[in-house]
Amino acid sequence: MSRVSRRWIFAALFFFVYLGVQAALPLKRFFREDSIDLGWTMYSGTREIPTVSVRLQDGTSVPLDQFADEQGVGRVVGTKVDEARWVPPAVCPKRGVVGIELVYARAGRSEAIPCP
Amino acid sequence: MSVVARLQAFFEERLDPRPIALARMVVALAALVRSVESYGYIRYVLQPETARAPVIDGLPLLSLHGLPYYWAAWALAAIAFFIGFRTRTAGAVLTAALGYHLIADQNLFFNHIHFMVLIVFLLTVAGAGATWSVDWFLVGFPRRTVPRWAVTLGAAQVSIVYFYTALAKISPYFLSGDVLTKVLRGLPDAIKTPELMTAAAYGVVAGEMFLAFGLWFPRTRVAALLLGVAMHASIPFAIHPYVVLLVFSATAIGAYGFFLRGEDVDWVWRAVSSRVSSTTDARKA
Repeated sequence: MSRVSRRWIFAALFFFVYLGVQAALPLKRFFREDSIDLGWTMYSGTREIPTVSVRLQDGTSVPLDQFADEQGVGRVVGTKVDEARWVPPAVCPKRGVVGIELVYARAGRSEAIPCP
Repeated sequence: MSVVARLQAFFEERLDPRPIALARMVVALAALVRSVESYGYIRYVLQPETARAPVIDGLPLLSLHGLPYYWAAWALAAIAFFIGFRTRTAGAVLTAALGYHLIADQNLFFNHIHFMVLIVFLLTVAGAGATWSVDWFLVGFPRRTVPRWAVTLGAAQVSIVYFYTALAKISPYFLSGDVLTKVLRGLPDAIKTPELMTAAAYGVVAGEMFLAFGLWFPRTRVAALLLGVAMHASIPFAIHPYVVLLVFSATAIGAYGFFLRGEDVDWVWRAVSSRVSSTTDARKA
């Protein structure tokens, strides 16, 4: 088989692999919840962004934004951040922090994550 | 004709490159604008008070010192991609810069950059610098073509995005109209009645599903193109004219180049020329 006639086979391989990957990747969100779902879910309201607060040793809570302003750690900027995973490592080293709380108002649930 | 022969014919067929050259210029401009916006945004994310959220563990995050170099590479690649100078290299650098934006940190992930990186990559693969480019000028304006399969892949990518974004909106929450009521900040509250917002939510899903398929068929193609352009042009004003929404709209409209043919460019050119000449004649008279 000549090089010219073989060329279309490489093109076909690239075409079908790319198409298969791009058609399949968005399905990931149906099987695994992830902050970055690759599912083209923009403006669909699929992911509810929680309200995050930092729980302190004295029993009080501080909104994360306020805590970040005051302590200089833990600020979340993007809407695709997995707060439950990445906020505790940022805020827990601060003195008096015992954990964080995520409130999902629309879903009517909350999640408390203690510092390790 | 056997299946293999048909496949071979499809993968060897060539097309007029002008529509994707137009797409290249529009998307490159959007990427250039985005680079300016991203410079400030990444600088903000790199401040020590921001929580690090790696997408890929172990991938080094850009430093504040390295940011100007990263930005310069991105902006220069976007300019080179726009003018079509060493287009494939420019496209590869632009793809890498945009790709890094996506995977460096979750704080930096945006759907419109995800879309843009795929479109730039596919324009690069398709050879969008084949015409209307410095590369083309330097070799004496030859008549060139681009592979049909690569153009089809770009069109398929656009349809995949429309299909899944419509699918994601088929939920009680979105169809209730609540999401649109919140996000359509550019519209006066007086017209955002629950009934209208519910109807609009169903309309958005139907419209996006129509775009996913309608762009492919000759009978629906023009209607789909007009709907798509109208939708993307109005989004930044209905929500808010954020730079990121303008960038997304420009990228989406630019990507319609994958659905256009050389005849479409000729038709637009003739329509514009005849209008210009009739205006000139009227002035002379």
